[in-house]
Amino acid sequence: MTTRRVLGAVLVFVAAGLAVAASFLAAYAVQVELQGRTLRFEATSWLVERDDFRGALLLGPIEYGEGAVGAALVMALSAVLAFRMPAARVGSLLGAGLLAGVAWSAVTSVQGIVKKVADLGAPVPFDVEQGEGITLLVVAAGVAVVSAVLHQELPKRVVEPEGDGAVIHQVEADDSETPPYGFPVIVEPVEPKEQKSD
Amino acid sequence: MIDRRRIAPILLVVAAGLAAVGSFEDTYRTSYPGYGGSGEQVLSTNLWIVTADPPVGLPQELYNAAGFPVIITAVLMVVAAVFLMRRRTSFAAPVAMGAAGALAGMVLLYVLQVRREKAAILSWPVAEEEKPELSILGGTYLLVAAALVGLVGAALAQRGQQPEETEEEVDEEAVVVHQLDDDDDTPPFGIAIIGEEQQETR
Repeated sequence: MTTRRVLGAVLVFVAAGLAVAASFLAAYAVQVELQGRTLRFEATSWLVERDDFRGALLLGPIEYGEGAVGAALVMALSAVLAFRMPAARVGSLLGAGLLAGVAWSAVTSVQGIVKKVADLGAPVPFDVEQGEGITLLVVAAGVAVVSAVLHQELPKRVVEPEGDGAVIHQVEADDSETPPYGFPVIVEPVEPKEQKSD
Repeated sequence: MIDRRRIAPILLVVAAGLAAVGSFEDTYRTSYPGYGGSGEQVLSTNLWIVTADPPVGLPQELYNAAGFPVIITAVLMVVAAVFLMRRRTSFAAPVAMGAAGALAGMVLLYVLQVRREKAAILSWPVAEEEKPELSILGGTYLLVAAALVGLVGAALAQRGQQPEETEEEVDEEAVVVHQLDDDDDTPPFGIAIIGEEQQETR
């Protein structure tokens, strides 16, 4: 396995870890200052962490946790299996795609919530902020895509056809190499001039 | 035997078509009995807009409109299918898998969000006869089918690449080890051709 692919495998693990961590961090928060008090709604991808509005905003978690953890599992499994089965590398692409799709939808959902809260037309301004969970999810998706590409086999490799087991040696590049099935190793010392005389 | 290289692009195009059509079909409908006293308000949603019946102004743009990302992944799958048909597997196979994975991720998140919305509206503290309902419609099934068909197509695109992939890995920087079991073989950088060398020195 080349250095590039080892780096790719390491980054696949990093992306998987970031994706799992992102699912447990705050996805978004809505906050309003009202008569000197701060009312806040905050949710991770799994549950509502804090809701001072007692459900009045009709908001809930953006459920990217299952998708992110699923993608992380696919990526981690692929990175482990690829050390023995090169074909398993495709799993890192699948996981990266999954994670990118989940991250894109999650960002769209946060933007939707910003619009939704703005459309409430409340007399006091609501402050909607994207949480570090979504930011980390986007970073994880970016790292996952880069690592998945590094993890793959690049097409530049020229495949040597394996015929009937004969090893084909490269003879054009370096004059110091011997041709295949060239001169046999001479075990018994033989006079050089005798060979030349042939 | 079915040629995987032909089936994979067909499945990818079918998946892209299903995704595009599914994004414009209604994905779910919520009905609110008792709206405005004795009537009923029905909201139909697709991946782009939500329409109300009876209408309340123009159809509203959906807050979390997922139509655009789904169309992008559908386009990527079509591009991958075209390159697969042109035997550019080394480029097409990764693109197909990435796009199919992204579509699956979006559809998964969408279905989970709809499920959460259903649970949320069912928990509202209203009388039994005014309980809102959420029905899953054909668009959702089309999107799920698109995601599954896309994944199968992408997987088959990888299988088509197998003969190249299963070759023994070659480390470009490593020293080439020659087989020495056979007496006919020569070691690397083996015995120089004595006659030629002697001729040169003379």
